[in-house]
Amino acid sequence: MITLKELKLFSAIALLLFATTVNSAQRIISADLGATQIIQQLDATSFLVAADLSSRHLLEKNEIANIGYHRALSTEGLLSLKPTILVGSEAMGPASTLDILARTGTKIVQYQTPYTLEQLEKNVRVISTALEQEEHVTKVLHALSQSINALNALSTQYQTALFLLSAQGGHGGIAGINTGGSAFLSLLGLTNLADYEGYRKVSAEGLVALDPDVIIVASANNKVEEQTQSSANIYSNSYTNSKTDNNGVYRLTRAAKAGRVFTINPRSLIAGLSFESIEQAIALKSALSKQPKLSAALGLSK
Amino acid sequence: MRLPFVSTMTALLIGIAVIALLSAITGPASVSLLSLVENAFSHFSISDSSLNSAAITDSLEWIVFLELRLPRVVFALCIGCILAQSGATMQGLFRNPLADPGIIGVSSGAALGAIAAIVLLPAEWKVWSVPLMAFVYGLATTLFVYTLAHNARGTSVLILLLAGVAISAFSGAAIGLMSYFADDANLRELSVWQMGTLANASTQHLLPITLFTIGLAYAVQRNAASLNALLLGEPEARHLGIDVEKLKRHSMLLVALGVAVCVSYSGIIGFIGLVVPHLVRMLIGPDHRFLLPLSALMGGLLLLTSDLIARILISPAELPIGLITALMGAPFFVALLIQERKRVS
Repeated sequence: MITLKELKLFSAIALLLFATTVNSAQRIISADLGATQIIQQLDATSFLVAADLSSRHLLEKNEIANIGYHRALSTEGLLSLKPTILVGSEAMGPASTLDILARTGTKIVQYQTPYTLEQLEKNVRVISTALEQEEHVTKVLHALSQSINALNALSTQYQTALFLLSAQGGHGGIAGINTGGSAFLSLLGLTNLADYEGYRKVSAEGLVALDPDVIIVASANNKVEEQTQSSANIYSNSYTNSKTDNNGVYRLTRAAKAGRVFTINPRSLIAGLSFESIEQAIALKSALSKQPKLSAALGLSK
Repeated sequence: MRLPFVSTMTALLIGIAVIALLSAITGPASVSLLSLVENAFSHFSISDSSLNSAAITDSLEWIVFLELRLPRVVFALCIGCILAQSGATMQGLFRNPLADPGIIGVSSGAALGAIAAIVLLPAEWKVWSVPLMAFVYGLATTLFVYTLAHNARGTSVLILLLAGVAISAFSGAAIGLMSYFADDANLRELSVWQMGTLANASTQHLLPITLFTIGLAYAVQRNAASLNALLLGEPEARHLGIDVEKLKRHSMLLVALGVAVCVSYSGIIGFIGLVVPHLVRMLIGPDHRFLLPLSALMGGLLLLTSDLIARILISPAELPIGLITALMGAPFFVALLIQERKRVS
């Protein structure tokens, strides 16, 4: 005869087994770095069966498949992984791949690349709902809100900035509006002086004429990589101050002369704003708040 | 030593059959041809066949086979055939083994059209605007090049060649300008397009592309004897009763049509039109009656093999097929040239 206590125990085990079965049935493919980061924050990494190229560095220890470039997804490649959910930004495709996956029962979750904190928060909610990870979402959003508060609590005397993509000595373009670079400058509370769409090249003379207070350079140089990976928290200390760089195209600007050229790891901005980019912004804004005034740095009165 | 036509053709047909079968059964997804056939027979044998056939074609195995692999096999064959045949025609027309279909500006014109559609037109139109613009610009560019080279005394091959070079340079600059002003998303999209892909192969386009390839092959083959006469030189061809002007106009139109269709479907796929006719000419000689059909078969075989490699090399991801053809074609072409240099010396 089974006692009530034993019955409760069996029921609990059965429920646990059922819950495990439901969760382990999820096979998630992430086609965006932003999605992978949110999935990590939601403690759902174990359900990931594949991720795109941009997410690989976050998942080095996980033996999951690489689905390549998110704009050129292979239909058959994805089908072979038997996914239940495909998560990615509006840029993932081609559309024919998404159509066939949807027809075969894969849930397609698409969201806008977050260039604002509101959109980032919205994406967290969308992904957590799709992944049935609602129990974690409050914790994640709370952490996000704390980071935003920490960022807002910092202030800087500087107002204008430019965001450069580094390309070995020259630059690969200056971030205009609707770019990850511009969104990052907004996080820092700085006004982007480049008012065009996308990324464009600007000459050294043009940079001097624009005269930004601060220059942020996105560069995948080794120093930043080492610094990022050796840190206990991979999101902190992920910038370097390029005081010693005399070769950059920006070397004649007042910002460079005053030592306000900062190099950050561009990976945090590949998919728009992210948890990583907010942490980078906190570290950078904190450094900026300690910077001497421009006139003092140059020994001039402005 | 020259190979006999029939043996070479048989070998190529066997090669195509083997690689096509391998392509149909190989890929990241596990699909067994035997189980597909068994499932089809068991379902169709039941009385309510229409209902069951709908159910079976919605199954994963059938979707992979019918909607992904079969169209790619057919498209690879057709596009490879067209590009190689176009290359052989251009090399015959220009009497230069280094000529390729792009020499009359059709590829660069098509690329300009496609990139203009990606950068300048609304994103929701791209499904039809990119192939349409590629096709229209490809044809228009060829027409422009032809008009430049044509005068009352006929068409100058030299001006045709130089006009093609100039148009290609202009298209390159225009593409560069559009890339400069393109936003981030368009920039990435046009980069992917320029690398070439067969991922757009679809079941509904199977019949049109197959019929077009067969029709084009027939039309091109009808010029084979005239192209042979042209190998002797334009005056000699005229003395042999060939209407050289008509031949040039006809050949250019066919090549422009063929390449424009290929580019609009698959983006830029290089080296097939250059390497394949050259290789076939080394194997069987310069007679266009044999060179044209064998180039078509070898082009199909090479593109089919490239597609198989592109699909399985970094599975489940996929490499752009244009990269594979260039990676395979360029060293192969250099090796051929070195061999040719040794033979001549």
